[in-house]
Amino acid sequence: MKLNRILALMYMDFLIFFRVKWKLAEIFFFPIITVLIWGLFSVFMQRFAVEAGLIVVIMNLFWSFAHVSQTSTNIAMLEDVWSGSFKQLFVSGITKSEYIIARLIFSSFVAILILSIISIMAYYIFNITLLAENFFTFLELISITLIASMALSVIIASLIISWGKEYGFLAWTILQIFILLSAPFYTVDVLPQTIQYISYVMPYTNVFETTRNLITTGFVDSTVILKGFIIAVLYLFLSFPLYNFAFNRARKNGVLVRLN
Amino acid sequence: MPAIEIRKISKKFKVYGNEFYALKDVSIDIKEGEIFSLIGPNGSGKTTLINIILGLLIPDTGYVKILGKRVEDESSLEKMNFVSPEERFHWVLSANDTLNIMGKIYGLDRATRKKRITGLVELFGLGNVLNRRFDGLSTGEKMRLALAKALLNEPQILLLDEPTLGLDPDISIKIREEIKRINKSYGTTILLTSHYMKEVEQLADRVAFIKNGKIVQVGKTNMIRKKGQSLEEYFVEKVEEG
Ligand SMILES: Nc1ncnc2c1ncn2[C@@H]1O[C@H](COP(=O)(O)OP(=O)(O)OP(=O)(O)O)[C@@H](O)[C@H]1O
Ligand SMILES: [Mg+2]
Repeated sequence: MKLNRILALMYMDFLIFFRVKWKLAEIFFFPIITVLIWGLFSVFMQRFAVEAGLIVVIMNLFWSFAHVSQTSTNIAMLEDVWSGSFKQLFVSGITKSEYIIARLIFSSFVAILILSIISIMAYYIFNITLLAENFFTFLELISITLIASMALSVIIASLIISWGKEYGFLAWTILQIFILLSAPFYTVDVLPQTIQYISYVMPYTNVFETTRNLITTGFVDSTVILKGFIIAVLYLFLSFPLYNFAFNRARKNGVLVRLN
Repeated sequence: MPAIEIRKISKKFKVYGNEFYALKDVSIDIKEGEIFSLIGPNGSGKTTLINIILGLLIPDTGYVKILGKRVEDESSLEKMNFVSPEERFHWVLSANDTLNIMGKIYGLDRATRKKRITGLVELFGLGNVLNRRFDGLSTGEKMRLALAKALLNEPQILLLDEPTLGLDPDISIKIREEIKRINKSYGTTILLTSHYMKEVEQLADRVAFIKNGKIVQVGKTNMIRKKGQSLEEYFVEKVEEG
């Protein structure tokens, strides 16, 4: 692992970030519009149930954050594939770990930047003060979400490397399934019995549960947060061997060369 | 010790259930400081062999050593560089960005990077396209940029996969002269594949003819062909042989 290579890749992502216009749209436009729509919805909902409006806005904050952090990593890789520079980078001595770690770090910066913007918007425009009032819990939940999203992006990278570039669409689709199963706007027991078991091991379930409880009861169960941490960290620990395995297999069956 | 030691490499691919050999029992020693050319018809396995040398593809059997070190050792890549017309850089990056990013990847400090980039930009006449986006460069400019990138880490071994494909004769001539010069002045070992037999005749010390993944013949460029036979005639004869 060499720092100069990781920094060089991050520098490349940085330059690309400001020049590919749809990236700015993807990363800033959607999260901001999302907060505006659901923020207005929460204002409207105040006439009926304040909690429902809050739940929708705050869940969408987490969702946007997870989305930016996961897709940025995977799209950076896909752009290397689309532009034909994938092979170029790998023959320069960059190792597979350096390659993904640089992207994970850069995406985290971007995701944290956008999260700050939309949280501040939610606070000042829609007067959503809950997160500021429970700042430490918020930080814990954000860390879990970030770790889980990193793990997902490593898993998705592994799938694209295993199956080839026509599976690039996984970069912007899989997350929705994970969110669906992590029960954002509903409790786990709303789901069919068998799906509930899957739901319990989903990386975002405990984040969403803590947030809902905080909004509806004002109470934070630290064991749920701890469980969330453990599951997210486990995902991350398991994602790297999968990535290594996928990479080595792609080197054997020729998919890696065909990625270019 | 050979610069590149290729031993008993076999590689099968399976595409849509069909299995076939891309390389079969290939062994070659490429000596330090020589220009070695791999020639053979389309699909004979030249690029596949280069991919194996670069560690992008793992062979089914056999191994490759770079200056005595197995290619699985990722540090072997630090001594090599590679050029092919298929290589691209990100479309929004300028030539200058690309060279800087690659320089950083190679671990060159600011001063060295600046010095080498300035020298290479001059050498390959890239001065007036330095701030253009990659997707705005012409084929020849892209290739010259790729060559500049390839010399940035002062490699001991240079792999050139069809470096003059699709280029104007005048640029090709310049690039050939440059290849020769790099080899002469720095003793850089060069593995070259090409479909231009004149180029191979002019540059290569030794040649290997590869067909259907097998090395058919290896020898000094002047010795493998019959007296009075051009390399082009030799190529056609080999392709038509059994
Ligand atoms: N990653 C891959 N997966 C499947 N098949 C492959 C792969 N790479 C190469 N092949 C096949 O292996 C054979 C050798 O290909 P290769 O690209 O090495 O030929 P080549 O000698 O470089 O040809 P050309 O002169 O056209 O560049 C071809 O039949 C090709 O289709
Ligand atoms: Mg080829």
